[in-house]
Amino acid sequence: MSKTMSNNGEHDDLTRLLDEVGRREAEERRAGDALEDAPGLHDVERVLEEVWGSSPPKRAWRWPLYLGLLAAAAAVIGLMLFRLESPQKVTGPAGELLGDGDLVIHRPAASPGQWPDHVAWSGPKGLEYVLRIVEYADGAEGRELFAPRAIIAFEQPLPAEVTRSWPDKIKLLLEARNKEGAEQGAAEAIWERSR
Amino acid sequence: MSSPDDALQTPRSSEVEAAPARLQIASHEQDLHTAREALGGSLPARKRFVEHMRCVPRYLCVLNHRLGRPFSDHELEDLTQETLVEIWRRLDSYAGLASLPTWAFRFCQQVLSSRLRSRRRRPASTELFESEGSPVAPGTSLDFEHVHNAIERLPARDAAIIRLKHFEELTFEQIAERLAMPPSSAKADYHRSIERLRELLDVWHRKGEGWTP
Repeated sequence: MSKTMSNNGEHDDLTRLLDEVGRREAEERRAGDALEDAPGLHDVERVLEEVWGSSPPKRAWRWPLYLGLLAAAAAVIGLMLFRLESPQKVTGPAGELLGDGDLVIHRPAASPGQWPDHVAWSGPKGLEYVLRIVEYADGAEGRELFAPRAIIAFEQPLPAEVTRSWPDKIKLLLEARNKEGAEQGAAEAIWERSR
Repeated sequence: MSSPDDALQTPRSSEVEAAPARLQIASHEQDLHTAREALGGSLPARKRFVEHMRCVPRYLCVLNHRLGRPFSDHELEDLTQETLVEIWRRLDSYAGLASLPTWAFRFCQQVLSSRLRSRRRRPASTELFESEGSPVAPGTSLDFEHVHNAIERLPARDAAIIRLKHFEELTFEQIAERLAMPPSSAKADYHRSIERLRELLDVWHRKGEGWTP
C-alpha cells in the first residue's frame, strides 16, 4: 500500500516536472520567435546551401535499392516457378527452427575508402529497431558514433558527411523491441572500411 | 551527441511505406512535405525550409541569454552553423508530429548543451575567459536535459505520447486522434509510458546520473 502511495507521489512529481519542462520550452520558443535579430541569423541560408552543395539529395542513392528489389522479386518468382515444376518433397522443419525471422545486419556495397551510405537489416515485422554504432579497435568498443535511436524501418541512412570522419573499424549493435519495449532479439556486426 | 529522437520522428516517407508499422499520423503535414521535398532536392521546398530554420539562431540566442550568456556572438554564429548541419543530417527522422521549429528547438538545446559540456572539460584558462558572459547560470530548459535523454531511450510510441501530452499540451482526445487510437487507450498508454519513464529515471538516479523528483 505504502509502495503504491509512493509510486503515485513520484508519478505526480514526474508529471509536474514534465509540465515544467514543456512550459519552459514553450516560453523559450516564444521568446525566440519574438526576436528580430540574432547572431547567425543572416547566415542561415548560406550555411544550408553550403551543406546542400556538399552532399547530393539524400534520396539519390535509392535507385539501386529499387533495382535490387526488382531483382529480388524476379528471383522469388523464378524460385516459385521452379518449385511448381519440381516434384513435391516431404518438407523438413521450417520457420523458426531454421532461423526464419532472425535479426541479421546486411552490409551494402560501398566505394573503396568509403562507408556504405546506409545500413540495412532483416528481422521480424511489427517491431521497432534500435541501432547503435561505436568505434571498434583491438577487440574493444570505443566512442559512440551513432547514438541509439528507435527506427521503424529495416534500414538507416548513413550520410557521407557523417561517416567521413568515422574510424576504419566500427561495430554495429542492433536490438529489436516490441511495442512494450521488451527486447525481441539482437544482432551485432563489425565492419571495416572498404578498401 | 545524442539526437532529439523526437519520436516525434520516424523514417522518411519512402521508409515509412516499407516500415513494418506506422506509429503515428503526422499533424504538421505541410512541414513534413517541406522536409521530405527538401531532402529530395526540391528548390522551393528548400527555400521554405530555410525560412523555417531562421528560428535556430533566435532560439540559440534566447537559450544563451537564459544561461547567463556563456557564449559570445561569434560563438553563437558557430553554434548556429553546427545546429543547422545537425538538423539537416537528421531531417530524415522528422515525422511531422511537431512543427519544424519546435523540432529544431531540441537540436538547439542539445548543441548548446554539448558545447557547454566540452567547454567544462577544457582547462579554464583556454576558453572561459574568451567569452563575454559569466559561466552558466541556472534556469533554462537545458536543466532538464536528463528528462529529454530518458524520453529518447523510451520506445518510440511511449516517447511520442509523453511529448504530445506535456510538450505539445494535447488532450488525450487529441493524442488519440494524432496516434489513431481510442482515447481510452491513449490515456492508458500514457500512464504506462510515464511509469516506464519514472523507472528509467529512477535507475539513472540510483546510478548517480541525475534525477530529482
